[in-house]
Amino acid sequence: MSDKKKAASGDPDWLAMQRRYLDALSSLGAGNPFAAASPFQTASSFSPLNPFGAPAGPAPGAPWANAMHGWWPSARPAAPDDTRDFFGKVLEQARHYWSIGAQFSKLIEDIAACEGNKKAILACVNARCKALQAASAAACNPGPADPAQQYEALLALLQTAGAGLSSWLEAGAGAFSPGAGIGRLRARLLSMPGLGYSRETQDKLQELLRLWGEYQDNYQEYQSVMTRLNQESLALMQKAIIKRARNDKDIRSIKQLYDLWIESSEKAYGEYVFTDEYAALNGRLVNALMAFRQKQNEISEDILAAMNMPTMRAMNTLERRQHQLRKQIKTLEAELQALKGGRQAASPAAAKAVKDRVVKAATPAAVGKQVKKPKKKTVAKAPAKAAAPGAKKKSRPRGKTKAGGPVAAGMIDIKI
Amino acid sequence: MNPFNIRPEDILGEIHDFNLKLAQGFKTLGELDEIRVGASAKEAVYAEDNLVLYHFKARKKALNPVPLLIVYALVNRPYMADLQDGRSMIQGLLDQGIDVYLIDWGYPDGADKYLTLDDYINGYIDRCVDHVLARHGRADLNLLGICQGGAFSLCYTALHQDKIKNLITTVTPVDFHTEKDLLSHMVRQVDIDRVVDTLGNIPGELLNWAFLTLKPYTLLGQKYVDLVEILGDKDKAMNFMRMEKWIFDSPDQAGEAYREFIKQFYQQNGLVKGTVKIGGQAVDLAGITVPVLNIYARDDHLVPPDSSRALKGCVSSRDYQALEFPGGHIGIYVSGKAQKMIPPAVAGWLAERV
Repeated sequence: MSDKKKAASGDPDWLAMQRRYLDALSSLGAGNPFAAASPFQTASSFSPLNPFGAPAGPAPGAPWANAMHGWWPSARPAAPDDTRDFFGKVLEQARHYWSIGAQFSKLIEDIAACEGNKKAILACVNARCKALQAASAAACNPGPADPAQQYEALLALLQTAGAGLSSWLEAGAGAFSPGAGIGRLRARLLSMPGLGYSRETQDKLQELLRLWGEYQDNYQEYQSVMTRLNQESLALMQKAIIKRARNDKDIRSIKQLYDLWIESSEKAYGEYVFTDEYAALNGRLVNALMAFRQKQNEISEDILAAMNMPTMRAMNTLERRQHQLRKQIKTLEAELQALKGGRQAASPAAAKAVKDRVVKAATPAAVGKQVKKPKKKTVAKAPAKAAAPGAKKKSRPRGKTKAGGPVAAGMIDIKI
Repeated sequence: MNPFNIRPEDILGEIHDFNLKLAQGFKTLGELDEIRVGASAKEAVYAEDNLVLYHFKARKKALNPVPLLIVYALVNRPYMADLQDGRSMIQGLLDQGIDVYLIDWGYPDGADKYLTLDDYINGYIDRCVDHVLARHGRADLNLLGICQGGAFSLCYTALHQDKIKNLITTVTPVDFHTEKDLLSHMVRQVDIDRVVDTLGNIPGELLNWAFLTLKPYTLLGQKYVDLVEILGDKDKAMNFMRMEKWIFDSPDQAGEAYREFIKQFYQQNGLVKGTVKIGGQAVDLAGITVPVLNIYARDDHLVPPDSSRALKGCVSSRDYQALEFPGGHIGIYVSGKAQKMIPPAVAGWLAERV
């Protein structure tokens, strides 16, 4: 048993003292206008990387975080740019630490009330962890996004990309009602046949819309998986807490709890990301995003070209030609050097070697794809037991070096 | 069975301490000087496009007459190898009497979008090698590759073996389909053609994000909470900030080279299968017969040890040695343990193969 535990157990008023402290702790938030609200943070502050709901700003029942929130805005302007951004990042992560402190203070309070009853303590741990999981799940899956907001975003996207297609958009917009969600509008816009001189543009916009939908679907799926992993990590953390209790390895600080959460989260995440399911999901997500971006670029290019402005297509052509020219110049320079007699090498052998290489480099194969190259041998495959340049030297006994000492230290002496 | 041996006053005290350290840390960060990187004196001896070839000034009389050329990865910046005084592999090598050169790839921009692996390996590296050889009047040199630069060094050696005396690979991926290779797993089903066709050059931020997602909770969270503990110490804070600068100093990747590297190496695992082609030439690792020292990190989460160890079965060098470093992918260059172990090991190994 630890000294701390002995001290705690030896103090008959410890439970009462703990309650008093927790009362005092709670009162820290009393002056806070948010203090009367739910002890849980607002739902929107949860995310797969934020299962304890660390608030992004002042929040109810988070006196430590709130104290720093109060201090940071006043300190921030005085900080140099680099420090400001960096410290903001540190503060953002510190919020998780504070949140764990806040959440588990409640659990410790509950456990104190159990007065040593093992079953009751276990029930408290399970109940608190389950509550955290439930709150986190609810917050990470806030349900479908606000249809009106989605609609605005979609219209903005299409209007940017589809100048001149207002009639198509207006016709589609008639299908939108917040109750029906964005799906109906998407279906309506996708099903409208293209007519007239803007038909091709409309086709492209419809394709863009379809790709946007695909990306949204994949993104939703990815988010759900991350939420599930978050649940799993909390479950792992719960098991770890109970296991430590059974093995008499009690938790002595909030930092230990925080580290336990990190460890559990990495474990849950690490196990999943090595699955084929994850590789496929990640592939789908990235591919869907790229397909959408590609179509978006294509439509933007059309608009720029119509306005007689430089396009990325034209830039790509220029850059490709410039690259080919640069490569040709390098080859010609090498040839010129060879004709001038090679580089200023100190020894005749080295000069010959350099010259040979330059001549070799100037062969059509090295010029690039523009020149049709004859079939030529590349580096000859050495026989498996070919003598290495170093092989002519006498081999040294294993573990011994000419210099002795450090090379042998830690060296795994594998000779093939 | 109370799982918590925390008294309420302990919680209060702990968080109070944390907040005090945080506030103190803010003061410390504000007082830090400009973050400087690079410990060793060097001069640019060759430049081409964005590339600069550096020659490091000797710290003692050269004991090894064969120059050593370091090929860094295209990802992140090469000052990792010379981060600061006392945490520099290059400084260690100079102290061992090695004559060191380093290729700095610079920051590719839109004009570099069409650079291929052929341009990097048969072009830039080859011209740097020629330049060093000409400076020293030699026909061959020692080559040391770091991470992706190690894969490039393998390709280069396979294609230009006559210029290489000894090859050293450090934390170099060879087998890209080992069980623990998460990066490889993540890109396995990504349509790289579409990514490159859409983005052109690959933004460095995208790579940063990919690396962070390998251990998101540790790298995005715990690291900064742990930092609070050391923020009161100016030197430690500066070391952290220097490392942070390096981690997020990620050049964009030339699109075509990225396409080739991800497809041929990561997706097709071409280096071990012998299917990689650079500028139309097949890269056959079995053709490598020069002495090889393969250094890998036991706890590497970016390049799993198995991925590096696979080199043994791929090359034909009769003089092959492997060295396991007890640390991670970055620690192998900057940790105190690495300073004592890596440069002396490299210098000793090279000294035997002059």
